Amino acid sequence: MKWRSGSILALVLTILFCCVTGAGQQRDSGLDAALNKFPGYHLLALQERDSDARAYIVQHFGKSNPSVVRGDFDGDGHPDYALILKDNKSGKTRLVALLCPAQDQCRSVYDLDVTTDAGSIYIRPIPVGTLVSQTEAIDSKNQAAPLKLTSPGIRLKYFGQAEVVLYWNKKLKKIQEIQTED
Amino acid sequence: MQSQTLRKQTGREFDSETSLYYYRARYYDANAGRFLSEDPIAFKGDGPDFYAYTLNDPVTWVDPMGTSVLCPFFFPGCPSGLPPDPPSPPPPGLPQLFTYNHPPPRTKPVSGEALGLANCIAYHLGSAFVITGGSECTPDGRHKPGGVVGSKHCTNQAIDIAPAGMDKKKLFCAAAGCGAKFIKDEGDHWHFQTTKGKNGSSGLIPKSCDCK
Repeated sequence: MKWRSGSILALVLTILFCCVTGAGQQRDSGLDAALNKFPGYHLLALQERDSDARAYIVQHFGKSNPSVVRGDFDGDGHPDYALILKDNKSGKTRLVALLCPAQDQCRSVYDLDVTTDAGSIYIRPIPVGTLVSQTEAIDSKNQAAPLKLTSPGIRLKYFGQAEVVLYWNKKLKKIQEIQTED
Repeated sequence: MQSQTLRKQTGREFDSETSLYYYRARYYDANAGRFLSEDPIAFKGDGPDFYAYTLNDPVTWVDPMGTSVLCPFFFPGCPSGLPPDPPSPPPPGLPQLFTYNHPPPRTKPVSGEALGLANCIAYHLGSAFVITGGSECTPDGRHKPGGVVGSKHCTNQAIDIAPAGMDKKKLFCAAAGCGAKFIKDEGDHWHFQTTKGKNGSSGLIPKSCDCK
């Protein structure tokens, strides 16, 4: 009896182990296709952030990649990507957004040089319906009107300093920015 | 003859025809060593003479707005004594009352009003704090890439402070007492600036404080 229940337990553990490791090895083929558009670049790694930003990211976002946001930014039903990429040689760091109407058909629609802030930046998804408004710290003439996101957005965070929300403007057909923290 | 307007040691405009300095809130007569009108904050100031400038001790204290005693002259960023007195040289081994979380370019040291505000807060708190956002500014006038033009970080009028280990109420009160006009809690940092925000907003400036 003891032998039988031990075998069952071992079998269950084996199955569980296989499922977990299998899931870990699953590749996001869409992400691979997006990355292929930028030869010589890699996703900015957690270890490439400064220690304070790194600790904050680990504490608040666990194991999710702080350099990748996957979401249907333009609302066409296909997943799109925002990526923080670092040049393997020069160290130049960019935030890019790609619309992918089909796999292997990604096109870049946004490119921002964030090299100076590579140690502190990370990106997070923002769900549909989120109300976004420009920080009242800045009284600018070109004040962006508050808006409710109709498709997922991207939160670009400069740890300890500022935050900018990126979203797809369906009328203008381009990514636009709203600075929400200063 | 057209009068000449110059900026002197405290950074305030000097009218050569009238020999008066304009301190935003009131005029100062350099010859008499007194303001021409009462201090708008009156009893909230530190002395009974509402026409005096910084406890009648401008070598030690400064008052950029003409309304309150701010910080000792020997702290960086605090304007030096009133003209015509020359500024005293800062003492050696100046104490570091606050630190930056990172060296530039990530966190750029502050100067001007932002430095005065930071020094004043540290002086009033009596404890250290960490600045996470200083005078970082992109070449086209944004605090950070992707942001909007017009950030007070670009004009040395804003600082971001790390919340860790800080008494929020005490810090906000100290900032308000030091001339901050707008405060915002932005999660991983607290934002302070020396000018008001959009539509004259004060943000989280405390309505009443016992800042002693």
